[in-house]
Amino acid sequence: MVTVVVSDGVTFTMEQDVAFQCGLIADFAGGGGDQEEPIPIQAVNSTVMRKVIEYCEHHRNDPPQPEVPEGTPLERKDRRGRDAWDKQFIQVEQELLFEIILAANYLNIKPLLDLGCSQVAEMMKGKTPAEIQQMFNIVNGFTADEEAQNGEGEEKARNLNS
Amino acid sequence: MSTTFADVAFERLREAFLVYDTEPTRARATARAQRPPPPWTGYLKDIHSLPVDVLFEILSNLEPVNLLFLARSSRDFRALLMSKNTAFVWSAARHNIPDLPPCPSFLSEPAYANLVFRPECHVRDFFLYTDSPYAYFFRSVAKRVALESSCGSIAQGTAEDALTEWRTWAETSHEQATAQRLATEESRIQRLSKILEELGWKDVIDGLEYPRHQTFTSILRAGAQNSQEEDALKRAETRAVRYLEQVKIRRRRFDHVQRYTERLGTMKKAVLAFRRHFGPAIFPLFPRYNEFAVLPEVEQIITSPLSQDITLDAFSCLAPMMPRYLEDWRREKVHGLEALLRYSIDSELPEDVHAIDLAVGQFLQCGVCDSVVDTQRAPFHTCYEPLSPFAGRSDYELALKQATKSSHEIHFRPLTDFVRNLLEQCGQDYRRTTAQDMDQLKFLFCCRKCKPDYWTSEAREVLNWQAAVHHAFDRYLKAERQYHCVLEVMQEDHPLFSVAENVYTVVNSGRHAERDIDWILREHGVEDPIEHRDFFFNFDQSCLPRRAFLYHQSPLREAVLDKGERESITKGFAALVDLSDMIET
Repeated sequence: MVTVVVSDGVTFTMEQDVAFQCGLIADFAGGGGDQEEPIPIQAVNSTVMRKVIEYCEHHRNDPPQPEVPEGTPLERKDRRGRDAWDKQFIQVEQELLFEIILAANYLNIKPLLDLGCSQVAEMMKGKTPAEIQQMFNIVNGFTADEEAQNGEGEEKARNLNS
Repeated sequence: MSTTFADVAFERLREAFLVYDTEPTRARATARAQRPPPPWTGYLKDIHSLPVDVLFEILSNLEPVNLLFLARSSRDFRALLMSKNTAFVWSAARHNIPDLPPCPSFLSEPAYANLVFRPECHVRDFFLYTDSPYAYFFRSVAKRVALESSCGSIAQGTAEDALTEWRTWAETSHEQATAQRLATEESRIQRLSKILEELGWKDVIDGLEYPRHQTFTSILRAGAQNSQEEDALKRAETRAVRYLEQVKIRRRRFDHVQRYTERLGTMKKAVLAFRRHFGPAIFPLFPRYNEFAVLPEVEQIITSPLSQDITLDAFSCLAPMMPRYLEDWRREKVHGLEALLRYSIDSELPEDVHAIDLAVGQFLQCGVCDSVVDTQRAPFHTCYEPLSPFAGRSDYELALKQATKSSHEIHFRPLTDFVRNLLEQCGQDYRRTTAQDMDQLKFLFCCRKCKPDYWTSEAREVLNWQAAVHHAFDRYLKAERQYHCVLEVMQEDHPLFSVAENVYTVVNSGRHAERDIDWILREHGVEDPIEHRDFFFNFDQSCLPRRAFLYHQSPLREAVLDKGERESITKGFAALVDLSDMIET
C-alpha cells in the first residue's frame, strides 16, 4: 500500500498497482515494497486527487503503454483510445478539468494528460477565430488593416465558393 | 526541444488575457449586451494557467485548420504558432488527418495548411467536399497552378516536382496499407483457423467447398475493418461457427439426399426387372416407377437407416405383391378418369362409351411439372404427392422431389374445347372421336412464330395434331412465343374450306388478329367473309390470349361455347381440385 498526503492535508492510501500508474509516486517509492512514510504531494488538492485515483483504479488492469523515447515527434506517439468511461469521466467543470490536467502533468500520468488535452482540443475544434476569441476571453490585437485583410480574404473565398 | 521564442510569445499571450480581464473594451461590452453569449464563452479562459508544454500537447490534438483559426484569433497566438519553433505542432496536427500528403518542401506548414484546407483560392475548388484521399492532392494541384499563374512566386518546375513527390507518396502509402492489411488478415485467419480447430471444426474446415482463406477472409472483413485484433477475432469466431454449422447441416442433407436417390434408383431397377420379366403385354399400363416408393413395404426399405447397404435383393419383396398392386392401381385410375370426364365434358355421358376412348382429344396439364399429357396418359402421370407419408421428412422428400416431376393433382386444360370445336366443324362427334379418327382427319398445324414464311415458302413444315400440342407447350419455347404464337390449322381436302385453301381458323393472333385475318383472306383470294369470320372479330383486346391453345382464356371460346358448356367446364375444374374425393364417390 502507498500513502500520499495532498496539499490540504488529506491522506490517501491506495494499492501499489494503482499508485504506480503515477510516474512521480513510482519514482518516489523507488519501485519496490510498501511505502511506510506518506508521500507529500503539495501541488494537488484532495478533490483532484480523488478524481486521479478514480481514473487510476479504473485503468489498473490496462497493459502498460510502450516507452516513448525522449524527443520522439508528437505524431509518432500512440495515443490511448478514449472509451465510454473515459468520456464520461472527463465531462467535468472547466476549473476541475484544468486542475486534472495540471495534476496529471505533475504526477506524470501520461494517459490522463492525453485525455485531458484531447478534451480541451475537442472544445476548440470547429470554432471560428471569433468564437475562439469568445472562448478564451481575449482580444485579437490586430490592427485595422490586418482585420480588413482577413475579412477581404474570407469574402473572396465566399464569392468563389458560392 | 527549444521553446524560447514560444515561451516569450506565450508570456505575451498571458498578458493579453490579464489585460482583457481587467479592461474590457466598450464595443465588446455593447456587443455582449445585445446578444446572449454562447454557453462556452470564457470556458477556456484558464488555459493560460497551463504550462507551455501542456498547451502544445493540447494544440497537437487539433487539426491544421483549427490551428489556422487559432492563429487568426489573436496577434499573440499568431506570433506563437507562426514561429518556426512550433512547426512540430503543425506537423502533429497534419498527422491527425489520415491520408494527407506530406508538406512539400517549398511551403511552410501553415502555408500548406492554408493551401489544403482553406477555400481562399483564385480558382473554383471542385474538390472541397470530396472525401477521397486524393482530393487533397488534386485540390493542392489546382491551387498550385493558380498560385503559379497569378503570383509567380514559385519557381518553374516546382509544381512538377510536387506532383511527382505526392504521386510517389500516394502510391507508396497505398502499397504499404495494402501489404499491412493483407498481413493482418493472414495472421487473423491463422488465429481464427486455430481457434476453430480447437473447437472441433477441423473436419468441416478441411472439406469446405471454397478455399478456406477466401471464406474466412470474407467473414473477417465483415464488420471487422477497423476494430482491434481481439474484437475482430471474437466477432469472426461467432460468424464462422454459424457458417460452419450451416455447412455441416447442408453437407449432411446432401449426403442423405444422395443416399435416398441411390436407393430410389435401385428400386427402379427392381421394378424394371419385374416388368421385363413379365413383358409389357401383361401390364401395358404401368405407373411411374417412383409411385412404388410410397408403398409401405418399399418405404420401409428406403427409409431404413443410412448405415445399411440396400441392394437389388432388398426389393425382392416387390415381386409377389406386384400383380395385385398393378390391378388395383389401374382400376383406381380408370375410375378416376371416368369421374373426371363425366364432370368435365358432358353430364349426360352415354354409359356405353369407354372412358379411355373418350379421352382422345383432351389434354391435361400437371400442376407441378407443367407438362401437358393427353388423357390416355393422364392417369399414369402420378407420383410425388405433398401429403405423402414422407411429409415432414425433408431429406427423403427432397430426394423424392428430385426423382420425379409430376403430381396426382392434374389440372384440366381445356384444349378439348379447341379440338372439340374443330371436330364439330368437321362433322365429327367429339364424344366418339378416337386418336385414330384424329389421325384420319389429317389436321396439319403450322407455328407462325417458328415459320413466319410458311405461306410464302415452298418448303412447308407442318405438324400433326400431336406434335402441334407438344410444340405449343414446349416449356423452353413458351416464353418466346408468349405473345406471338399463332397456330394455323388446316384440314386437307375438307369440302367446307376448299375455297379458302384449307385455312380454317386463327387462334391467338393477339393484337395482330385483324391484320393476320386480312392477310390470310387476301392471300387466299377470299372476298366474302368465310363462315367463321365472326370468330376473328370477337377478340377482346383487353383480355388478349397469351398462348396458343389457352383456349379457355380466349374470347374465341366465348363465341363458341354457350352458357351450358361453360358451366360444365367450370364444374370440371372444380371437380379436379380434389380428384381423390371424386374417386371415392
